[in-house]
Amino acid sequence: MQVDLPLFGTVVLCALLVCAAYTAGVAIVAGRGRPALLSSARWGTYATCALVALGVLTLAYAFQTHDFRIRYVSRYSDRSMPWYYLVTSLWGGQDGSLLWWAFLLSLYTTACTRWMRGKYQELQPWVIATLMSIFIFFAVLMLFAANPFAVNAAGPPVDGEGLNPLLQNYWMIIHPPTLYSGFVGWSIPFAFVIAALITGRLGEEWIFATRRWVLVAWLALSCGNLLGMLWSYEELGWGGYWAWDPVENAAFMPWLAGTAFLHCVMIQERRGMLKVYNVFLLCLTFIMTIFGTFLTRSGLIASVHSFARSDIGQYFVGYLIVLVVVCLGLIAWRLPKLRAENRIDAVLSRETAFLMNNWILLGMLLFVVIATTFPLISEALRGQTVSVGPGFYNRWMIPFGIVLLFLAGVGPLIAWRKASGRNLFRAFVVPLAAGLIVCLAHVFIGPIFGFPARVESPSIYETTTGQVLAAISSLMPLLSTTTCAFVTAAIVQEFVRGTAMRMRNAKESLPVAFVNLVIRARRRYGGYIVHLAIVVMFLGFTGAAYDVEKEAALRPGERLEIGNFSLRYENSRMEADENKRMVFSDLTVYENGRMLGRISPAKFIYRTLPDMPTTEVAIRSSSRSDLYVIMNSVNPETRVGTFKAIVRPFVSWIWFGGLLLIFGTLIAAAPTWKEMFGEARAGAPARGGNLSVAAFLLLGAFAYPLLVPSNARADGEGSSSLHAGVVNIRNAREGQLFERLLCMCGDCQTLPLTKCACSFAVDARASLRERLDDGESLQSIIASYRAQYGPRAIAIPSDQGLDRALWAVPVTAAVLAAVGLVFLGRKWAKRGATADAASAAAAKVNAPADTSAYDNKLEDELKDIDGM
Amino acid sequence: MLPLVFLTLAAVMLLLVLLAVWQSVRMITTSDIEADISSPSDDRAALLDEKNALLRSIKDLEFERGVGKIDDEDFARLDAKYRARAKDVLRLLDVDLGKWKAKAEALVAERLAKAGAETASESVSVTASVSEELADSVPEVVSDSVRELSSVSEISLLHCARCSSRNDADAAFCKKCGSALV
Repeated sequence: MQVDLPLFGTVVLCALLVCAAYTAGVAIVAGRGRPALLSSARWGTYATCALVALGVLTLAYAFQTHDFRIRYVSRYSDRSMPWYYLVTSLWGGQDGSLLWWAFLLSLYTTACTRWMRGKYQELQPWVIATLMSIFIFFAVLMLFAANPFAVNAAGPPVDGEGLNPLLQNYWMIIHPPTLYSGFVGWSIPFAFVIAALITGRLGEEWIFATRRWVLVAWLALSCGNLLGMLWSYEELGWGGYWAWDPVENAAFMPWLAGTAFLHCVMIQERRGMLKVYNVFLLCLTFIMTIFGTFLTRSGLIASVHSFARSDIGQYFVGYLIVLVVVCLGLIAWRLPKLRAENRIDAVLSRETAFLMNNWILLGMLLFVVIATTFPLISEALRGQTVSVGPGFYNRWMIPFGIVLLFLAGVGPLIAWRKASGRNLFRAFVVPLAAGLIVCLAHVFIGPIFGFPARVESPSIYETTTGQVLAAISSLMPLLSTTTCAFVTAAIVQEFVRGTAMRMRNAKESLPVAFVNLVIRARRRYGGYIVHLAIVVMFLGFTGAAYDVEKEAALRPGERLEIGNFSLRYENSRMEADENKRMVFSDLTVYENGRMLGRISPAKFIYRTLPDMPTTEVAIRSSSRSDLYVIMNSVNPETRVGTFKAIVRPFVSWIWFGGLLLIFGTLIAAAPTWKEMFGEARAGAPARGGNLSVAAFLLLGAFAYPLLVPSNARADGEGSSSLHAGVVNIRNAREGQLFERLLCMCGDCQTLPLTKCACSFAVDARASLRERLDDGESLQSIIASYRAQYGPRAIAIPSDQGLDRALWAVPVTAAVLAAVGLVFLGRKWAKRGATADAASAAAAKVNAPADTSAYDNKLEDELKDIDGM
Repeated sequence: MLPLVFLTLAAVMLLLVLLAVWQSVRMITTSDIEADISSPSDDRAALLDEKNALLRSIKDLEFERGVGKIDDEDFARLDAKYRARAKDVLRLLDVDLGKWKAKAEALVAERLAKAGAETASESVSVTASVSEELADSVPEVVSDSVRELSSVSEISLLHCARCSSRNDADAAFCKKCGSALV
């Protein structure tokens, strides 16, 4: 007898819906004055999580046994696939990825429920109820719109359609789960903040409770983004790591909001201010994760990642509306309880620096949100689908990024509350000097090593705005190195001063003092290490300004010279396996005459997609630069091959910075000994917390080998991309034109003509080049391209009419916010003094019972914490 | 082989679901109010968290003064504020502990009374067994205080001249027979 697996799976999903609703109900009753029911709700939570796991295991079993009765199984697998791709198929398509999403949420929920045992009993029922509401949403979504257990209407096929070859690589094993856990991770802090709003317990409690969960989610999200960049760099074969694709933006938006929260919450912890704002930021971060999913999964905006258009969009819109209404309603209801305990005392204070940082981060967020949704807005307002290409983002994000980086150095230097002139001078003199020295060095010595301070940067508009942006972009390398030097010096100075103080006060030797310094204030120094990681990554991004590209047709034995590298084309060879034919070209790499080794870029021709050979790039990494080699074509008779080589300085620094970021975050999130062992004795079990720490230590270990820069990859396994041609740009004017036009072949991911290498793009470039040579102006070429392919073909919306709103709205919002901040600051500064006096008086009136008896006890406790 | 693994895991999950649902429903029906009241205080964990955060804030502030990032005047004001709150939290923790202490003391006294006129060394073993018993149901801090109590009983328990009951060192009358203690 054969089990009706599809039916069983659907029943499990129904049970999930019922169980989550039941648990939410019990939890709400428990929260409304029947605390005895809490343990019942906890068991209900475990049951719900186990049900999700049961669903995932059922689907996994169906994949392993090739149960093609299930539509999802037949669409994303076939009989020839190895077992591990059968496992990754779980999240290879839309329906399964929703189930996988729920599964990750169930892991977080189980860990959190266990960790909450015996603590936060007031918040707990509402935390559980909120988490269950998320499960309910996913259960409804799966049952009514995207059931992974739906059956094939036409009966089971003999064999499945198989997983897209693009997805059959190790990136598919690691990238989506990491990114998803970054998205899903924000559910826990969100649940806590909702619980805090409902119970009115809006003190520090929820902040302490969520501190580590926030770091876990932030780390996973950062790792997810980094892995996405690596994937883009190594797989897509156009030489870049970030294309501002809607899906990349979807992952970037919650990261921006989350990073803003991470900083701003420190102000609340320290000064009891900005309570409303922090609550709002955390809600915003969670909403952004759902909004990002909606953007990409609904297929409303074309993207390389989007699955087929589907009707899950309306469910997401409904859920988003509910979320926004509930969050805003709760905040409005609790507004009186969210009053600040303090005011900002002085403009020159760390609070202000943090506010500035938030201003920039949210400005970037607004920019990305508007630009990502602009195609939809434009379609709704004027029935015209437009595109917003990477050129737009790159120009506008550079100034934001530099200011943000600068603030990463300023923040740690300024004191809380009020920085006096003397303190400021002491703190800033060394970093500023370091910045100045590097700036001068870059201007005068940089060009000797091939790194001039100014680079060519074409304008994206014909207006003044375009010229200003182009000027900033062309100075980007200099601005970046100067700021990086400033921030690095500021952070190093922090470490040096702290260590010196320990050596002086605690009479410790240098290494002991250093280690103790970091161990004692993990969050602070972990945070500084993360700042340092951002600096390192920024240097990597800066390297893109110095890319050198070259292409050549070579006969065996001939050489291609590029930068310090020389490539000798040895020969080409053909291999085949059951899935594909592979054409490799072997090239020997020399650097300054010294042989480095052999690399083998390739083309794979899959049996299922013979018309779309995939390009397998070969990358040779070093700390100074990456050599990125693409094979365009090879003539089987003459053996003449055409190659494109790109030398990209400092790319590996991005990946190294990523590792440093993981390391820093782990330090910041690491539990203290007391939390791990001592606190359990004190009645607050921290095992759940330890579990989570162990889990993401594991995650770090898992990510490590993948983040380590690779050497001469592409000897067969792994990378694939559907590009066949080669990009060749001869001069800046061409670059300026091609950057503003998108490839419209319909198959590739509509990259700009500067990047896309498909045959359509090659032809388009050739014809456009002729028109440029004939002396036609950029505007008229763009206009005719637009007339031919529609407004969607233009990568950068113009600087007129509604298109201008694309940058004008966020810039205006940012300026208004800045003006508002200044006014607020003035008001606060004025009120600060009186409020202080008032609170001091109030403190006297409300003085709690005499606590002088606790003086000694407090001293003992302080000694204890020092002895840890 | 692998399908079998998934099948087994799925079966285990199904059992877990059933177990969890059964537990959950059972707890609704029995709804053990008593158990709820005797569970550790709601706020205790939160207070402990706050205490740790405050202690760290105080340390942090001292550090900031050490590296010259904060004025002495500001330091004094903030430090005083944090310390006041920290002491308050310590007090609240003690208040919270108070009811446990009372319960523990009552339990100890009951056991001691049962044990009757036994030697001091035995009484220590009795309190030890009480503390073990308590450890299951109350936070461990309380068993600490029980341990404290047991050491107290060794040193300074007053024996009633009439009924030989052991009484607290500062007791004026015997808690069993009511006669005045010398």
